[in-house]
Amino acid sequence: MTSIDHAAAEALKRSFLLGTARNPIPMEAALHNVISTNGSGGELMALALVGQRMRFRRHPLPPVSHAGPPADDPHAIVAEAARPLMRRLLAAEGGSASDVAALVLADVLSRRRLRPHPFDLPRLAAFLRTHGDSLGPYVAAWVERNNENEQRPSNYFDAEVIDSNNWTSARPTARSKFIIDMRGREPDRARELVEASFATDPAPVRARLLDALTRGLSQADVPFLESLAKDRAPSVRERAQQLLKYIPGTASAQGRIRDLVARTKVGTVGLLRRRKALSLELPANLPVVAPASPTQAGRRWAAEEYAGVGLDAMATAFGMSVAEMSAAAADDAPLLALFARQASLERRFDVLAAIVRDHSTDAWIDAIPDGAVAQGMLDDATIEQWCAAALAPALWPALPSPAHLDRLYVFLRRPLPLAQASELLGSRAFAAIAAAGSPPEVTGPWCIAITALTPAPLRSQLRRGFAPFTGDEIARPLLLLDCLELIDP
Amino acid sequence: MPIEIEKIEQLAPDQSSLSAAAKLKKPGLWPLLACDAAGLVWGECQGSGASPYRVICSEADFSYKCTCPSRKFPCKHTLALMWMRADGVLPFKTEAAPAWVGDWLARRRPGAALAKKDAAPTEVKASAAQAAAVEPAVDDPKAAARAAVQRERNKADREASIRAGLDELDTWIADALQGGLASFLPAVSDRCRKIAQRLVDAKATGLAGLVERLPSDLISLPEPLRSDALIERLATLYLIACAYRNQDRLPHPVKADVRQVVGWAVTRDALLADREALRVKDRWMVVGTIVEVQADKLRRLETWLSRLGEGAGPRFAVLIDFVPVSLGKATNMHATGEVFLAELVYFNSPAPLRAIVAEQIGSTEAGERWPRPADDVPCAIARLNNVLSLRPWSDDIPFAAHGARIVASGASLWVTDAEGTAGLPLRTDEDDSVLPLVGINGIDAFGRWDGNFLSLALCETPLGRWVAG
Repeated sequence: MTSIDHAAAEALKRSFLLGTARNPIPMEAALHNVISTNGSGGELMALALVGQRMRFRRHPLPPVSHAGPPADDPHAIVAEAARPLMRRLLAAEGGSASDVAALVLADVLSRRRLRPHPFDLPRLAAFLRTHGDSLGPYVAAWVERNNENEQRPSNYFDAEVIDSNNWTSARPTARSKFIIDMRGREPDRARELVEASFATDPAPVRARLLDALTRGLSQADVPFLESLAKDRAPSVRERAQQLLKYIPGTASAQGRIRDLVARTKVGTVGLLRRRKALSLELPANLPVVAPASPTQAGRRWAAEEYAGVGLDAMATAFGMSVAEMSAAAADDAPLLALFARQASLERRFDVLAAIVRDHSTDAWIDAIPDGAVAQGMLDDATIEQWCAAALAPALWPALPSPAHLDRLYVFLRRPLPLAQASELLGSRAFAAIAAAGSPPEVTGPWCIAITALTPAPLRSQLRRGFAPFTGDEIARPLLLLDCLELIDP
Repeated sequence: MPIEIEKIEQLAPDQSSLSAAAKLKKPGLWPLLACDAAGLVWGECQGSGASPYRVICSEADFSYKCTCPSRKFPCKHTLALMWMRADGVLPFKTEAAPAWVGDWLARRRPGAALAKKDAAPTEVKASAAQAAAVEPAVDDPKAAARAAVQRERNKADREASIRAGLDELDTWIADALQGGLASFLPAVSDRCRKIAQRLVDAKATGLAGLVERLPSDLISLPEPLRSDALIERLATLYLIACAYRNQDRLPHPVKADVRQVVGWAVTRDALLADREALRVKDRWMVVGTIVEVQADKLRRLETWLSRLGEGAGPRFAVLIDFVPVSLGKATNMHATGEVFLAELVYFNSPAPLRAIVAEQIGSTEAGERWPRPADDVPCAIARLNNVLSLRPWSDDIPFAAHGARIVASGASLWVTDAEGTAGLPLRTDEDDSVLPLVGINGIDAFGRWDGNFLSLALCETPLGRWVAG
């Protein structure tokens, strides 16, 4: 024997681990003819030999559990040139994976059926956690790779066409979209599908599906929504109650209209031409959360508290027409906010346009419905109409705050229609941000929000509009602009 | 290669440094802005002190130096100088390098120093170290002889001290074996710290570093592998000790290597002057960069190079620099994928790997594809064994293979050949950066094998280049 065999090596290792004092190494048996087993230092030499033997050992390949990519994906990979820009925008120091720039990028990728390069996924982890759901099956599988609660089959997202037979095994986002679309065509059928799948869906999915029912709410939905008062998930119960608010004729709607009338003073104003004036009495203990002003808090409260009570029902309660009611509330910002919100919900864009142009150019801020309710409006034609009615940038005395512009993008989930975007870029309000020398911490978010809202044909004009900015604040908006030009030319 | 804005951005330690540099791009702050034909750019920047900071950078390899006390590297002055150069707006006078630039250059390239010395023998030395190296030979032969004797005496003392330290190491390992490594493992940090201190006292600093790293290396391994890894590491320590004791019987490269591993540092100047040291002049591509903080409060910067030419000799090299942690954030001079022509001098070793750049010729470029390695996965694994046979105390060994694929087995990832006949387990990190490689065929992979896991550094794939980190 000229080398240590496996059995001898194992015997020596055992002695080393247990201690050679109590388990002397089997020198003669293990190292016979390899080294001299007499004399001092035998243990150390045995250690050196075993250690070196172990360094040459290679573990056999274990059974392969997974050798292929997690899913076939029809989404194309983004252009190579866009990769470093995306990494800087979303993952580098100073980048953000959760601001409106990240949302814009996610929307564009989704719309263009693109996905990030597979090698960038680890660096974009934060972005993908927030937006990965809409970036195709490969990215979705990546995001959920460690999700032990995921019980679905690994290929459940592969179906390109979702119908009423396979919709329950689709991804939550796709299921929600499917129900929204069906609700536009067959509202009762959509509700029946949701009702049938509720027993097996987890709470977050149930809440999401309820949101999808917002479009086309009617009396026919009342029994189902009322039955959810006993749902085991509080989020589902709250959502159901919220939806019931938006159905005219329910007990909830009747109670709120009585409350609105009780809170509203009807008076007369004017000297030569006397006209009616409405003013809403706000709760004395209305919380004002900074940075919102008391006025903004009042507007928000009125819109949220009474939205769902129909415009006609309110006008009837006040004993006037809808147009007269809007004119009577001209000096009361909370009531105008409520009417603008309700006009949005009812898609009465003529009323909304009249409020914006005649009384309050920033009424669009309150006209944006809440997240769940907004989902029902997201078809292209409705959005175009809403923008045409609600947005009049030429009339804006100053640019709305970045937070409000961000909220506008979050509602639209796409750039402004060409007409409104063009009006915005040519407005005095836009020109003023460069001239006014606003602090960089405001200018940067402003520029990002405007970049998000600018459609592709106007990007060169936007770039010219950014020319006066030279500081750090413009770096991220320009990065977003460069990135969009590459992936959404 | 002219400096580009992207490179400056890459070199900058953080965004605030770039912002600060932007504010320095005013001609009034720079009484001197100059360059030479060889790509050296220098300037003087008026700071808050009486005398301006002197800033130098090389366009060839992006090395730099500034006399300011900033702990950021590169500092804002260096970044501003590079930036102004990249902008090309302000004029840089073309002129001969002044003494302080020449001095910096001399410290980087001893050849240049000699040429400079010949040209201006009476020039005052700006560098104390340089002056000390030259003075005894010129001024006082007796003092030089005395110094040589003293050096020999110090060397002999250190040899004796190291041998005593090695004996202590033997005793320590034997004690560990007698008590049992199973009970040694839970107390490994404490046990290693003590012997590491003894080895430092014995001036076996290299060996002390290996012992100091042992606990953290073990903890980084999955628990089932730790006892085997401990046996391997103790065996290696003993092997090094034996090799050192028997160094006179070893061939020159092995002897030189083992002396270095134990703690006899080879200075850059000494290596450059060593006629037996292996020199390879070729094009090199950076295939990996590592920044690690060591237990001795030094930041270790490793730059792994792959040789692009076809000549004989080693295919890989690693440049290792050390920067004190107290100096703040420091990054590698080169980014993965960069290519440059240079002459490298290897430290003596039976399996040459660590090297220094003796001279870089021309500029650094990027964008080239890493050439397909000659070995497939089984051959590359066999090559690892060859290196271990030649140099049993090797820690990280370069691995390069073509036609590889990455497969998953449970939670672990393996690099294998297309047929799945041979493979190595991969070191994975928390962000699963290797995972996107799973399922891609025909990968040309470079990585470092540490005895337990392969750490991938660069892969050329049909989907493009993958870089670790």
